[in-house]
Amino acid sequence: MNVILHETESLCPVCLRRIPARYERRDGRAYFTKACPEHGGFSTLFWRDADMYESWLRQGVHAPAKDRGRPPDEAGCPFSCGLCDAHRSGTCTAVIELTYRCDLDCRVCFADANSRRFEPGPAQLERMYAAALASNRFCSIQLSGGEPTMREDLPDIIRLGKRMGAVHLQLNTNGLRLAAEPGYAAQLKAAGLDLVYLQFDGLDDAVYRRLRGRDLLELKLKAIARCEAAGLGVLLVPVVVPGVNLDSLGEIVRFGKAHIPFVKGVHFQPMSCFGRFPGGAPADEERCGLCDVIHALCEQCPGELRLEHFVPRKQFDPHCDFSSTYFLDAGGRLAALSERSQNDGDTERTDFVEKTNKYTQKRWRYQPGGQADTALGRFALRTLTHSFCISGMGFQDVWNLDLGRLRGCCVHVVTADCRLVPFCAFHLTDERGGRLYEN
Amino acid sequence: MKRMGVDADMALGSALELYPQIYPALLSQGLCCVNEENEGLSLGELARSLGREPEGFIEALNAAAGC
Repeated sequence: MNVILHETESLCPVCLRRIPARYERRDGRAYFTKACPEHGGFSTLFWRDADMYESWLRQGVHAPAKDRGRPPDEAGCPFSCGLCDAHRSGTCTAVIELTYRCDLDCRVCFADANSRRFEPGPAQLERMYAAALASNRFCSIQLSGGEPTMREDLPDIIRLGKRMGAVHLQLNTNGLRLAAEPGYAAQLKAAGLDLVYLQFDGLDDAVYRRLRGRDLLELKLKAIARCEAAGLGVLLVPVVVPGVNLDSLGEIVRFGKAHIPFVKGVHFQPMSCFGRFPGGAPADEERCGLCDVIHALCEQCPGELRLEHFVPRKQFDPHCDFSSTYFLDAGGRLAALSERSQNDGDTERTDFVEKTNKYTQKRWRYQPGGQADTALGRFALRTLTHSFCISGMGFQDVWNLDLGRLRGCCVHVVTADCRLVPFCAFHLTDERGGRLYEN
Repeated sequence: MKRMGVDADMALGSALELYPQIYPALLSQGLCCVNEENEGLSLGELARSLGREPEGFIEALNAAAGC
């Protein structure tokens, strides 16, 4: 029997018309279904574990829409994005795309790299940085692509961002140049780069051959070694595909753990079908939800990772993102700092908004601290130097696009004309690969 | 001269203005990002929202701030 879990809006995968949609519970699974008056019905597996879907839904913290001085226009969401008054979340990560050139030609690529050309120059990049920082002066800025290391002026671009006040700059890279060029990691670190967001799909070349078309493991390991030598932090970012690497996520965690403190964590991204992907509507068995990643992690790292460590992050829709935070204890085990119960009693984002409204630049006052000669001090320092974050993000494609989720998105691409567009809207493609947005 | 550091009453946004170098430490403590919803939270409130004891959380941030 089908049970409707909740209703929302989506797009037809064929004509991109806005249509009603809903989540349904069927045989213990959560499905996303919708029907276009012209192109018929569509149903796709969303989460394999409907109980978990519902439990996470209850943890949802939805901010109200905010007056941004830009009323929604006639075209509406997601056709005329640029953060209008209907959008519920500010920018937490701003993505600046530096190029669409890439030295790989992956089977799966959200940006569909090498298919078009866009390379903003210094003046335009300055405007794009300014737009990101005007949206949120404390946002993380991710330099992305294509492959951003294809640009010879990348160190200058990093310096520009830092000069303009970016508190956290990360580089989304496949790591090939980091591996190939001694001194390059140190050069980026010296320019002000804070973190390498490294494509890292596993520890078996068979995975790279299937996802990236060639053996890459040796290069990935070399890139990590170069970053370690340069003192540059790395976040491992695997794309997760059932039948390819879903059964080896534990290995990735153990590898990351062995490289603490330079490896800061692992950020899993189940494959979504946008940009370049194998084509057509994905079969349910090819679908991977965040719940599959969490279950796989707990099964593959028994005794160390537990379901209750994983929490939906407050800045996101609960089905967009999860995180768990650990530190490496003196015995070499990951000890959890996050607990599911931390979100109890905090299910309304309005609570946060009230607190924000009370924000007056409180004057700080003297408090002695930072001493490591107490048990608390030693613990605090350990959590600082040996922390490890396991997180995941479920991107939306045209088959499971939920406009309600999209309006809560805080990962925004800065467009060439300096608008901020939610990541999953910017990269959305119809079933034939036609894009909604282009730079 | 020793700098004075952050405390549990200080708003996240104020702390970052004074000590931008604590940003990676905030990430290591479980924060995903700083945005309009949380920059007005006090560090004590933020610690509790992350399931952390404020005292240890503040210690860690002060260590990162070099205080």
